[in-house]
Amino acid sequence: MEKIVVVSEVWKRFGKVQALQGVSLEVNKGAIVGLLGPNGAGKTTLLRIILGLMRRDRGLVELQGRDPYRDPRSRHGVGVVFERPVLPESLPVKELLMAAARIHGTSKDQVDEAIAESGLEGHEWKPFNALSAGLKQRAAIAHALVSDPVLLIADEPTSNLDPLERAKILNLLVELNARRGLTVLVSSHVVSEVLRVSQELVIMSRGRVRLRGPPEEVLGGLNIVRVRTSDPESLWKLLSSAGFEARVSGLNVELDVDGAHGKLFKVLSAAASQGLTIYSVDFVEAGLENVIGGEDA
Amino acid sequence: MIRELIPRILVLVGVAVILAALIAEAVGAKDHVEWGVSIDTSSNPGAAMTVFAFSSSGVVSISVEGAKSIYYMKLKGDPMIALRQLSTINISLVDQTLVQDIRAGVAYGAAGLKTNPLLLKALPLLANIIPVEVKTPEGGNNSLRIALHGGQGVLVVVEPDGDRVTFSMEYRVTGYRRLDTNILIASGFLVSVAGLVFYRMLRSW
Amino acid sequence: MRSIVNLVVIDSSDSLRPPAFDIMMIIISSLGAALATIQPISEPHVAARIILDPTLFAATIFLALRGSAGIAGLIQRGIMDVYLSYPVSRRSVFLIIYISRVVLPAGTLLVSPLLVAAIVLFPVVSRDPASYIIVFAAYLVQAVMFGSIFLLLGLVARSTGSASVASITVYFAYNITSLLLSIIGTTLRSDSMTSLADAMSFYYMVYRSMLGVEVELWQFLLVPAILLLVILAGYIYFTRRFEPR
Repeated sequence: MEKIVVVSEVWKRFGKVQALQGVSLEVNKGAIVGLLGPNGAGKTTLLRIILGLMRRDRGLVELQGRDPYRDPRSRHGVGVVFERPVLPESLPVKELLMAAARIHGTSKDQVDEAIAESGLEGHEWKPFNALSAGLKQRAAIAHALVSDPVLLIADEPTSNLDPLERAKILNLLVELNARRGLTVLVSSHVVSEVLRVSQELVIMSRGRVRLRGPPEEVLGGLNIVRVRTSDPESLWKLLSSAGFEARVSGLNVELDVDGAHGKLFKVLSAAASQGLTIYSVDFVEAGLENVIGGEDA
Repeated sequence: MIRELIPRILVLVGVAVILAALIAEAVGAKDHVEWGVSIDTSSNPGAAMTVFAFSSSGVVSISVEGAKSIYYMKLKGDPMIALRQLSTINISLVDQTLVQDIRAGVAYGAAGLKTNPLLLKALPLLANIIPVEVKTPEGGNNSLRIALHGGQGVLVVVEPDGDRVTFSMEYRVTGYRRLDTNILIASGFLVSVAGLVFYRMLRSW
Repeated sequence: MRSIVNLVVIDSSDSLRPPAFDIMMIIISSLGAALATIQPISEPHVAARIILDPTLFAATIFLALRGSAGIAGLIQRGIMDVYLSYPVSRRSVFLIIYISRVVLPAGTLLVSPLLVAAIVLFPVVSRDPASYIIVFAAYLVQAVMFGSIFLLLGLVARSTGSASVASITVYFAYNITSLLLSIIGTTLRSDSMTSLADAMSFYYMVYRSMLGVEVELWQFLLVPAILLLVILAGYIYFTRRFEPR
């Protein structure tokens, strides 16, 4: 299997903070890899190093077989969606996309296709700063797609969106992967999102890769779950009626999922649709506390 | 945005040219200025006058009454500074008058000089540093006629013959011409329209 | 080359964004119009100096406020991440922001009043357009030198407020140093100090040489040398150390 991203033993320090500690990772061509971890786990730093935006202190990084920090050709055909959808503000989006396409050496047709695929049609002549949050994210995705990418790197692409927009963006990633064979490396701190799209999961915490593999394999080893919610009693009832043995502790509900992760997320989705706020879902394992958190419904 | 930069510049330049025409009509440049001043030298051993063509070029005619000797220097640069720098050789200025006539592009002024009279007589010795020329007046009157380019000036130092030295100055601008006001308005209009047409063309591409 | 041109197109949409830039252009063009008409300027190089003296001040303040803060804002808002994620080298991105944030604004702000004066004083300027352009080029070098310092400060400061304050401080410190050297040099009769004060204004050296005043070679080279050093420092910092965060 051809590897499009290779990260080996990468270290990065910001002052006194050791952001990455010997991170290793590989992304196969055509895969959707989800990078999961709480805020501050080092996901964004890792993606920036993969893109060559930052230097690494130690280790090896290859993007399409080249060192991304030294060789800009490594970013040919790489689309990027940043956490905050930011593009130059006053230029009409289509003009910006045309200029970006010329930089990537792609055609005007690619621009039209990117606009259509991202669902930006009808808004492409507006300046970026005149778009709503959802449309801004779509413009950022269209911007990533004008490069006719073989790899899409998306750093928390849904973090500022409402649930409906989130679903649309995630569906688009899956669709692009299926239709174009696009490789996707997507980071998030929201478990259900990453589970929904990823074929492979990488769990990071405190600058290290803690677990790696297919989602069922990775989550299969994480059975003790702590859910923080606005209404623990109601959630306990829902979980109990679904057959889980759960106990309430303050605002937390703790349970042993015993491999039934999919069932748990169905219950949580149902709870969210009933108006419960899920603040976080933490997988608690010996020596691996708070690996994942921050599902907010 | 960069594509539209040239039409933006053209439109704004056109507007400014029209504005220039209006300013020229209201407060246009002068081509001629006259000025005179009399300096009491009863207690000062000298008097000085300076003319500096800061923006225009022209011919200055200076006539001096009541002079025993006249030393004058044509300077590249501002002679006002040279006049002030006289203090470094212990010549200080009194009764100083300074006029800056922007519309004629010239500044001029005069002052009494307080110093040891011997120092004034020694001025020609500076000739190897700055080109001091000496004129010996006949009957106490004399006149100088000097062409000045923009950025040049003349400094005239006078050893008085009596209690007063009178300077009279006439400055005539040379080499200045601007476009006629009507042509300015028309060209400003044309430049702006060209900018707008260019902008429309860029938009339609 | 295609990448550089297109990235300049993208970045200049921010650096030359109306209306602030256009307002600045119309103000200094109008000032140029007034200065060109209220006095009888007889020679092209004198015309250029009279028009560009106040323009240089305005252009430099604009570069300090908009250019430096613009670069810091580019980093703060995350747009620098977007530029660096293109398949373009850091060397090229540095060149692009240098053109878009320094050379283009400085050149445009200096050229617009000069065009107005060239039209108004066409009979004078057409006698020797070369000397008119040489004085413009000298002022452009000075403005670009300040702009390069501001660019470096914008890259290092990272926050728009700090970048503006640091740039304005450096600008005034430079001018005050020149003024103090001139005053002290005159008082102490030190030619070397006054020569150094004069040499800190490249355009003044060029102008004086056009008047026929002798200017020493080092006086011509001081500002271009500072310019090259600052560009080199900015280039090395951006290509080897800079990390957008």
